[in-house]
Amino acid sequence: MADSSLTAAMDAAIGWHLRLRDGDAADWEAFTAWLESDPAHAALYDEVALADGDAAVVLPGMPARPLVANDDEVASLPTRRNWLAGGGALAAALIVGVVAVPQLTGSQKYDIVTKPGEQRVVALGGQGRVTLNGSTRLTLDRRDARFAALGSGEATFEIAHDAAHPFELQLGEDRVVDVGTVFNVVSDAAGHRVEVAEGSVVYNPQHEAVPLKAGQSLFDGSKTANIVVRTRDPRAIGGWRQGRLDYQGATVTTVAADLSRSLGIPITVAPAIGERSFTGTILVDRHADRMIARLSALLDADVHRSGPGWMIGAHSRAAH
Amino acid sequence: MGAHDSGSNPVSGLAAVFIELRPALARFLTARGAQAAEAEDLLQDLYLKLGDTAAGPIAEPRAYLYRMANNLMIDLRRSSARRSTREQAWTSTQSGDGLEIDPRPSAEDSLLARDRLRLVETAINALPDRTSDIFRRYRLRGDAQKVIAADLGLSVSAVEKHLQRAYRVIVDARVRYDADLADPQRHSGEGETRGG
Repeated sequence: MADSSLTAAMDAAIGWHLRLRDGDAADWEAFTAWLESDPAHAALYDEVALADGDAAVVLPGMPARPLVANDDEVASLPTRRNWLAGGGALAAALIVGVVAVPQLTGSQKYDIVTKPGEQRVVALGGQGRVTLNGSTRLTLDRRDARFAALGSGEATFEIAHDAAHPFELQLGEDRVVDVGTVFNVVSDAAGHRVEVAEGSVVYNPQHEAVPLKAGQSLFDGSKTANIVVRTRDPRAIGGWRQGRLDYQGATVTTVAADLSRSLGIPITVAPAIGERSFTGTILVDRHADRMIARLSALLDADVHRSGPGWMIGAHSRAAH
Repeated sequence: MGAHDSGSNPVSGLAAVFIELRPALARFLTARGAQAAEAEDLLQDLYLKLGDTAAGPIAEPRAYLYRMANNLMIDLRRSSARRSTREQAWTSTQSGDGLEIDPRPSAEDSLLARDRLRLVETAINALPDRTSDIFRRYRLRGDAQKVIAADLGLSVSAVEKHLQRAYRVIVDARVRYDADLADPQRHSGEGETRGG
């Protein structure tokens, strides 16, 4: 095929991709006819579809540029637009998840597991990406590109929209269904926590069917019957990826669990102060002595090393 | 779950549409480049997956089924693209049927994908702000072209031009990447010409 007609055919393939996304049955039939009109067309369309899949992985990592910026907005925008090319540590550790081969028989599930304190990004071809915090287990299925399960740990999912096929995450017996969103999930002994930063999800659509929109945080405790939904600043959700933990009236126990997950260090809390409320922001510092000092000041508590981890307890003297 | 009350049960209603649409779907998959046996496998898989759909009625069941079939086809292409990319990039020291027992993507898969994704990212970054904003709204948020047009005060055809441009650059990035992998020294005997 000569270059110019290749270009025209590729543009036509792109045109079809755009038309089909919100298209009806007649559009699909017309597309079939176009495919049949030239054997080269199918391969061209494949390139468009696969490139589209790459965009779904890459776009979440590229912050949006406002077209009309005021000074305040510009000051708070991250300046780095090249998530991958910028050479950050998370980008360098990118894992590609799922090589979906539908005809395989038997279970082709596999786990991606992070070590304590290790954070990784997994590209979900065609759908988006997920950032795993330390000590986290994500299960994918080679037979099914749309399957994902979080066994334990914490992950932020950034999923590109597909109204026809919502992304569904399994959390044990529970489900989070998402059409295109940024949401953070924690799964540990205490239960499940699902928080939406952008877009919306439905928790357990076949049962409780709790809708969650941006700025809402759901907790489904393993020992409680009720599901609790409260509000949170959407900008704070998934902040652990930037080493930033924001709290508004959270218990010290929760803070310790989150910090422990990000650092990969066991942190225990004395019962006397476990239920104490904390409001504020913790910037995670992997330098242990600095972090201990900072934590002690922020929580107004005594923090010291204890065995392989840390112990948070009440001050033995009143602090000034 | 039976076929008696297809009106109120979305899944059995969808199954009925599937059975009727099956020949058209088979023709579609063939036109997409599936071999006869592949198309059969995909259709079986599709049928089994009908029950996995999100709760609630589907407005356009035939378009939905076409889309499912298309997605399965794309998954297939993605996996074979990955295998052949790896084969091109690394010399295989073993002969074999190429069937991988370990389902996890290898470290090489990630390395290669990262390189390719980096090119795609660079291509998107080179777009004018307006184009990349429109692309982002379309692809990440899933806004329809007319919604984007209304939001930004543009015509739908203007929005489509922006999207055409965005897709063009990412397709070109991907094609360039594959071509470089296949032929790093440009010794291709294929006689293919490439634009600048």
